[in-house]
Amino acid sequence: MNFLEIVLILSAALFVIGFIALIREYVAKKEFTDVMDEIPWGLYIVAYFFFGGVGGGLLVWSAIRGFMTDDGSGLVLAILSLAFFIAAGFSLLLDLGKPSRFWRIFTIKTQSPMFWDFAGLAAGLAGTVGLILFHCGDLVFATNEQLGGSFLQISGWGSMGKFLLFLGANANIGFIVFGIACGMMVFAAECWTLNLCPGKGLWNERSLFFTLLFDGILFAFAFDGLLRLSGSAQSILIPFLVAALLLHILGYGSEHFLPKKKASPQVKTKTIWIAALEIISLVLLMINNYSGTYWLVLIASLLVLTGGVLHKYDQVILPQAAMSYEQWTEYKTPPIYNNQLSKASVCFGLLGLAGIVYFVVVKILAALLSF
Amino acid sequence: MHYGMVIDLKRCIGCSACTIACKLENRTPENVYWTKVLKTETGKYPAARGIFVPRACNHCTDAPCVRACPTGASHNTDKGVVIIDKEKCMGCRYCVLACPYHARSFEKAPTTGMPGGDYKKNQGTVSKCTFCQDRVTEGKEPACVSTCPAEARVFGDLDDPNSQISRLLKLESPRARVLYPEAGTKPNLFYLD
Repeated sequence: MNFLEIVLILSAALFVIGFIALIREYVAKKEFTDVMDEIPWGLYIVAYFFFGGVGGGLLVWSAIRGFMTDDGSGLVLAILSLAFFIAAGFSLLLDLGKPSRFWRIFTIKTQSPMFWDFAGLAAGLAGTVGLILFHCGDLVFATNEQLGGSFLQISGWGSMGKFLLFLGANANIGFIVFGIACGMMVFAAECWTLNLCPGKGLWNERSLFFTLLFDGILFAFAFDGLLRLSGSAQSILIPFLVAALLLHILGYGSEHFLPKKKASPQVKTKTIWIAALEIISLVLLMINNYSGTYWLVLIASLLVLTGGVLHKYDQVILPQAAMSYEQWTEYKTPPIYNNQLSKASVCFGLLGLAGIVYFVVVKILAALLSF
Repeated sequence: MHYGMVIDLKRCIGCSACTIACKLENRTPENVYWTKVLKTETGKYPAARGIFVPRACNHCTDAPCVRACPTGASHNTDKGVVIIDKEKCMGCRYCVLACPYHARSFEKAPTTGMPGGDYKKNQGTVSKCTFCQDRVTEGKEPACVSTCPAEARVFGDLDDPNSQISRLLKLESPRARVLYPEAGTKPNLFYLD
């Protein structure tokens, strides 16, 4: 059993756990138990920002890989990006109080950041499709050995496959630019969402776009290292981690990195944990530079992603719990978000969904190529 | 016509009759309060005193909740009242986050509440003060205004210079203020300090 088969089985297991947790919530009518008027957004929105960030980062990294090489890693990254965008979309859907009215998003209210969240996801999906088409051209050069770890085994080329190869081989740099632009749109939409309260100065953070972009690319490198896609990610991951550490430790003057003094105690210590995880990851990666041991990269990547999830938790929950406008005197005690195992289980289920979607898309692509 | 409300904080005695009246009138579910009286204390003995601040939707002219709503469920009427179309609300709670006055409530799965309320239909949507539009259409005042024993609340047409609210705001203009003017929301709920 190879590494990705193990990942697939884990994804399926996570999906089943998440699905059962979701059904139990709906049956017990406890789907909104974590929602408070003071903290209306919870773990599902944290999941949206995480999966959206991963998808956007993978999209940008896949586009950049298009400039660098044609070993097929760009194709795998693009398909992974698609899978995470789908998981991000589902996390938004699950958070809605009335998911059956989701179609009303097509009212196209351009003043609403949420419309742009969905538009950003749609753009991200379009970008991934474009890059998948573009990177199909890589398959001319990539060998089955290079692709072998990704499930994309080409058994033969049918007329549809040759057509896709033709499209990919003749795709120009426009696809790469399109992919990067779509990725930027995802981060821009996320940035506007987190800055949506004009009355709450706490959220008017000009650097937030770069924070989100930085996070996304960090996650992309972590996944690249985790899945051993390009082989170069871990060397790039080190300087990014150093930069992330400096940003977290120095605070960058931003509430999105360091909690305010009056923040809820629930999130006060998160930054310390994030920095600790990043330091350990950095040490492991530096040791790996000498030893070349994959397990060090695996653990380092998982730690980076765990720190990333905690960071997204801070970005979503912290501003809500920090309560601007002297609301401390009004509410007497700071609101505490009610973390729930069932909600976390559903979020893990969405991660499993991303893994399954990746597997399904790869199989569909392989089938199309041999059609 | 542009509706607004004035609350005289010197008259408010913090009895919360407005909270109960609103709940009875609008049949809001468990843990949902469209208006509430926030109570704090200031000063030290023997000069300590209680401060009671009734809070509700400010029906802002430039409402961030209206801008944030992706479906158009939250909108301003031609009378300046911000209401939520229950048929359009998909429960994303963007508006709850956008409101700087914490005026909105998300209706979770209510298990108990006032008889006659439409709980199942409204479950998963957001609700808030509507200035009792049904009562106002019939020529009555909002329930909180008519119930207040201290007559601390005044409701009326801000565009009519002869209305009680306009005359009160003109007379008491040194005391009149709005909550969080820096938010730029142009609220239509005024407080007399």
